[in-house]
Amino acid sequence: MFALRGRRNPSLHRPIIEDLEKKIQKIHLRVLFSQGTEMRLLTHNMLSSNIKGVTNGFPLRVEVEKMVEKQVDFNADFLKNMFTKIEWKALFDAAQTMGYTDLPAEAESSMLDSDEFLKKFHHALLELHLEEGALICPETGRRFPVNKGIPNMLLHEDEV
Amino acid sequence: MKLKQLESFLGDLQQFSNPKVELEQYPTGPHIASRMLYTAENSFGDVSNKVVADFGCGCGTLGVAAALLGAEHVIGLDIDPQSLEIASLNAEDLELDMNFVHCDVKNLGWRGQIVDTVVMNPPFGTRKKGADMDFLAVALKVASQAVYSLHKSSTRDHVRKAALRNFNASSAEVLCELRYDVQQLYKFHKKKEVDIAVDLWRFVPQKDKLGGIIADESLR
Repeated sequence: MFALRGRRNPSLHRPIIEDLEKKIQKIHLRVLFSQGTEMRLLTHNMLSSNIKGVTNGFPLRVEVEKMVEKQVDFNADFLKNMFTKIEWKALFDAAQTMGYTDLPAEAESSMLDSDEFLKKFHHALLELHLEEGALICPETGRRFPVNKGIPNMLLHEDEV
Repeated sequence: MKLKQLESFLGDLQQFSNPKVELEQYPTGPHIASRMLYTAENSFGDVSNKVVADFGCGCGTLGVAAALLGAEHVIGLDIDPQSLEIASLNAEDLELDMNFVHCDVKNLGWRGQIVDTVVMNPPFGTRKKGADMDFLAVALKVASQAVYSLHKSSTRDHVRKAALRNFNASSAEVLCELRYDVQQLYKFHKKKEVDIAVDLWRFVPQKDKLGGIIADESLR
């Protein structure tokens, strides 16, 4: 910025300076709001406990120590496509555990015509993020810890 | 996004600081990674608006590429916590919202076929025999649409047979042959840089007749 001083027409450089200022602001914002990785409930909906001998390892119970909400772009087509693949009850329970109570306990495909429903579904599936806590095997009670948003699903030797 | 742009983003990613030879950790170069995901998106539509899993994601290059090309949900799996830490920093640097799971790809429990596309640069199985085939077997169970993977060209016949015969792929196609330049990462490498011929494969998993949901049992 300083190198630009003394030029004949400083207004010419205004866009450059504005651009720099924007970049600096962005860096500040990122330092303030940087949160690292977290786990979406969509990921929770696709994982199950695979410990030897466990016959029904789904759904993993969610234990929350810290959660965050993150804004994710809304994509209605993706949600409609996902709806058929999601276990609703597991999503509903996990969302409740995360403190989000606006989802209906039961859902059917006719609800996908409602924007209001889609927005709630979107929020629960993609915007509620687990940062610290655990996923717990429904059969054995084995804890899979979640640190910095990354669940540790590694099995011990005797569990494989 | 243009191919060149994608390649340049991937070129800026942080890579392994202490690669682990037992896990065959070789970074996936920006050249190969960008072409792999660019083809998956532009020739087959397997990336944007999809759920993409990166098996053995290492520092996250392929997963990041998927996210940059508009994948709706990207999940990176790796057994090495240090790699996952770098991968999540890489995602954060590009302001990408990715998920990671610390696990052994071979025995992670999945419910159903939510993943559309699996992308991977598996261990080639030179240290631990069959490691690449283990990855492929799981990928073909988990993905509902397609699996993109790199395998040494010298194993082409074996890979095709295994995919079609043992892992029930409905198709297995080599999209192109690439040169994988392995830089001298480990002490046992005698030459400074070695070119390995690798195939970029696209596999299509068998479509399940019951509407895409497979029982948990079949994933064990």
